[in-house]
Order: sequence, then structure tokens, then C-alpha cells
Amino acid sequence: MRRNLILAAVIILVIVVGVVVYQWVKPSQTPTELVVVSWGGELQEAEREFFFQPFSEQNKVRVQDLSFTGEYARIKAQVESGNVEWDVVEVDSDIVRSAGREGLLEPIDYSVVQPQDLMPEAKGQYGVGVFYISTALVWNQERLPQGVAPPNSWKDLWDMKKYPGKRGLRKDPRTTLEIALLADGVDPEQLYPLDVNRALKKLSEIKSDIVWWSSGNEFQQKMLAVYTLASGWNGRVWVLQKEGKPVQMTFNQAIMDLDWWIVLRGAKKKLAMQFLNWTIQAQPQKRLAERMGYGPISIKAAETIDPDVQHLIPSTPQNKALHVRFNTEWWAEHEKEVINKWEAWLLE
Amino acid sequence: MGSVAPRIGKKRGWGWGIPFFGFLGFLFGFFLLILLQSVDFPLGHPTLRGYHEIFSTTVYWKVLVNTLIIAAMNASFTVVLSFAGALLIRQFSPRYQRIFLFVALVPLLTPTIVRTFGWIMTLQSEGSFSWITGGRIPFNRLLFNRAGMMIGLVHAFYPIGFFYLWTTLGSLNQKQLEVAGLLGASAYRIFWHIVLPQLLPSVMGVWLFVFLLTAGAFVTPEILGGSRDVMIYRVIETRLNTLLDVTLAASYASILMILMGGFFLAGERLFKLSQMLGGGHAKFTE
Repeated sequence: MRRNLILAAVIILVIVVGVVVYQWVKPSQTPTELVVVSWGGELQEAEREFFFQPFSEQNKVRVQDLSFTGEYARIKAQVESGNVEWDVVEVDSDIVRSAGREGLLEPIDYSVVQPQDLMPEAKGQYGVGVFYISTALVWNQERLPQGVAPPNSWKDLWDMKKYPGKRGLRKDPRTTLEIALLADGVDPEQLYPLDVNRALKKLSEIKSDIVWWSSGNEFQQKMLAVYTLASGWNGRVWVLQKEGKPVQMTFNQAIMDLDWWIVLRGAKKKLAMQFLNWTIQAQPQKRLAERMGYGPISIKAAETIDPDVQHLIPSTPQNKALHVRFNTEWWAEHEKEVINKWEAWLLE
Repeated sequence: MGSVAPRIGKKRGWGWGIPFFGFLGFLFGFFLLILLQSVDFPLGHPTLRGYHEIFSTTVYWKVLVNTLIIAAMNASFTVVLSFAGALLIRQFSPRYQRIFLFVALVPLLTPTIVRTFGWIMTLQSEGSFSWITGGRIPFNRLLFNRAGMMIGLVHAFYPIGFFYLWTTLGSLNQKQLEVAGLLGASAYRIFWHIVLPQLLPSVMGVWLFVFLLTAGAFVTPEILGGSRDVMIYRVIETRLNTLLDVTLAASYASILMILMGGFFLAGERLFKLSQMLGGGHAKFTE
């Protein structure tokens, strides 16, 4: 009996050690696989349909797609540890600059990526634009008190008397600080350089009522669950509206930025550049815009977009005029100190 | 006990030492590694930058105090609820007790992520609670604040207290209780003068055990808590993932481990915690 037990223990130990050694020794990836990282949910489903799958079929390459919520540290840690598992990543605009400057990215090879049809703004040294995205004021129509006019500017997000209820903001200083300053009455023309302390002070006024969101999925879920007023990405709002949910938004004072593709240093560069070239073609750009409501970075796509959805696209001339532009240069320059202040403020 | 049990390894010499210390190393080795990580070598010689920053910044202490308050609240609610539950279920026949025990096991068997998101699904505006009550009661006010977090935490931890107290209640000397009844003591008096004093060490032990576990809780407070319910896991998590400051995270973790170790030793001294967790409650029934 005892001998059997010892035998069983030894067998289990051998199996465990065997599995560990096998995982360690076996080649971690097959060479014909591209790992693309996006933001999950409906956006990623649309990207899978219009970008990943067609590229995969055309080039006979397996594309694996993962999702994350934009943490710079996860990119930095991979490149610096030399264990690069992601090839192409979709990021906020400031990361393109700061990661590029720190040498974490491969420069874009514009002999493979054809920039003729690309909007000049979306052609970066270390990144290619994915689309224009707007962080807008969003509200749940059913939670507004009866007879009250819908909110129209970020000031209303701070008005707890007129619009009682939970507030949703992105758990990230990017765009959230801009929103606080606009609500505090700062002129959009003089928004930058950001007065970080003033923004945090303004945010402290409503901190008890804030319920943070990090990913687009979380935003959608909490928009239905608890938020009265929130900041949110226009594409995610449209997804909710298509499902018939009582969610409204305004482009007034919304913050416009570009999402970017980057290629990590040490990633499968050649394949990654081919992939980027696929994503900027007019056809997939137009289809993604018409599905998600994000602004295309292909000039041809922008010209041919379905007139029925024009009003939902943040980068059309009429809508662009309502927006405040996100200042990438300022953020890339001050990222580190702002994040330190922000994290300390979150703990208060 | 020690004299009765055969002395393992008496004849086998030091060969057993290797797996023994290997096991100890596996269990405790990483404490030492974390302590090592908390020392920084920016200029070639060791500095205690992380500790210095923590001791000179009040916000870290506020988070620590906040965590201990949340942990104490959860431990108290859990103990009261699980004690009441165990007392109640002990009144039923063994057959019904088995059914209740199975039901009580459910939160323990449900993955944490499902359990916490389950609370969001049931409490949100279009959730099942609001559907049952026809939307008259705004259950969603319980979400993403201290209240919602407490519901989630108590739900997660009460099986631990419940099972332990249910077992200890069963090991009470039944004759003593019967005699007290025959002598005319009311149920209230029996509880207050016989049951409670004998169970007090177990109750305190459960309290401390739940307290220690809650102090390190991560998923439930992160998902169900509000923006002011910041706990220590957040300091460690953001220092590691967002700020890439391993030294500070390790320093904070080290302080935490020492503090929790202190609590455990105090509990050991006062309530014989290790004996209690090993099921040795013979002492109370003699």
C-alpha cells in the first residue's frame, strides 16, 4: 500500500517535471504566426473580420489576436526583457512617440507600407494610424431626471444636482485630465500645457461618484449598469445604440486622437509591415469605419463613406470642428511625471 | 501526541533533509526573494529607497489603514453571519444539514471572477433583482462602492467561517447542554454561558483568518469596489505594472508580510490559531 503511494507520487512528479521541461524546451512560436494586440470586444471582432482574417487568408499566415488596455509598461517590459511575444500592437498616440524615442519600436518601413493614400497625420516614424477616435460625453437617457435638458459639455459631468448618479471616466490620465480642465472652464485653445494639479483637484470634487472603466468592454457594460454620465469612445457608444440601448453622446468638446499600430523591436518585422500595409487599404478602412464609427485614415475611404453614417464619424469636417485635439507631443514629453502624480492621486 | 507518533526518518539519516528543506524553501523562500527585491542598488551600494519613500509618504499609510478597516469589517460580518448560520443549521436533522452544507459550499466552488461579475449582473439596472422587484428598488446603488464590495467579500469568505464553526459546534459536549436544559436554563442562557465561552477561541480564530485573507484580496475589491476603496493590492499592482518600480512594490509587500506575520503570531499567542486550523479543539470540550 505504502509502496503504491510512493510509486504514484513518483509518477505524478515525473509527469509534472516532464511537462515543465517540454514547455521550456519546445520552440515557443511557429515562425509563420503574427501576434496582433488590440482592445477587445466589438472593435476587435470587426478588426478580425476586416483586417486579421483577410490578411491571414491572402498571405497563408496564422494571425493570433490578443487584447489589452493600453499599458505602456507591458510593451516596455517585453522589449527590455528580450521576450517579445507581441508583434503588432494598437496603442494611444503618445505611446508611439515615447516608446519610439526609448528605442522600443521598429521604424515603419515605407517601402512596404504604401503611404500614398494615407492621411499625412497618420504617417508616423514609428507607427501607422489605425483610425480617428473620439472620447466624447455620453449619457444614459433613462437615468436623466425627467424634463431635464440633455448634457452638452464636460461642465455637466460635474453637475451632480442637475444630473445625479454615477460618473464614468477612463482610469487613465490621458484624456481624463483634459476633460477635467475643460470642465473647469479652461479655454480649449489654451488647454496645453496641462495644469495637472488643477485637473486632479477638479477630479477630486466628484471622486466619490466616479466608477472607473479601463477597457471599451467595461465602458459598455457599466454604461448600462450604473453610469448616468460618462466619457466614452464613440465607436463603443454606437455599438450600444445599434443594440437599441438608451445611450446618447455629443461630439461637443470631445477629444479626438488617433489610434496607432506599432511594431515592437525584435518582432517579426517583415510580416508586420505587410500586415500594416493591408490595414491601411481603402476597402478595409471603409468597412471598419462603417461598422464602428471610427474615422478612416485612408483618404479614399473617407471620401467614399456611406452618407448615412457620415454624422457618426468624428473626423468629417463638420464633426472635427467640434472637437478638441489631443496633444501627443505634450503627453510624450510629460508622460512619466503625470503617471506618477496620477497614481498617487488614485490612492488618496 | 509526539511520543505516540512514530518518529519519521529516525533510521534514514539526512537523506530526508533534502525534500524537507526543499519544501520549506518552496513555501518560504519567496519571502526572502521579495525582501531581497526591496533593496535597490542604484549606485552600486545597497539603499532602502523603497522603504524611505513609503515611510515619508502619508498616502501609503492611508491605504494600509483603509485596507485594515475593510478587512476588519469583512471579518466581523463574516463571523457574525457564519456563526448565526452554523447555529441555525445545527438545529436541523443530519439529513437537512447535509443539504445546507452543500448549498453553503456553492460560493467556494464558483470561480471568483464568475462570482463577482455575477453580483454585477444581478444588481445592475437591468439585472435580475431589479427585474424581480419590477425596477422599484434601485439595487444598482449597491454597486461599485463600499457596500457592494462588502457583499462580494462576505459572500466569498463566509463558507470558511461557516464550515469551521459548524464543525466546532458539533464537537460540543452534548451532555453538558442537556444537563443545563434539565436544570432549567433557557436557550439564551445556554448559548450565552456554555456555547459562546467554549466557541470564543474558534470565533476569534475565524475572525483573524478571514481578516488576514481579506487584507490581500484582489479580484473582489477591484471589480466591486468604488474609487475610494483603495486597498494595498492596488499599490503593489500599479507599482509593478504601470510604474515598473519593483523596489517600491517589494518594499511595500515586505512591510505587509511582516505586519501580517505579526498579526498571525499575536493570534497564535492569544487563540492558538494553528491548533484551531489543525482541527484541534479538544481543549474547549474537556
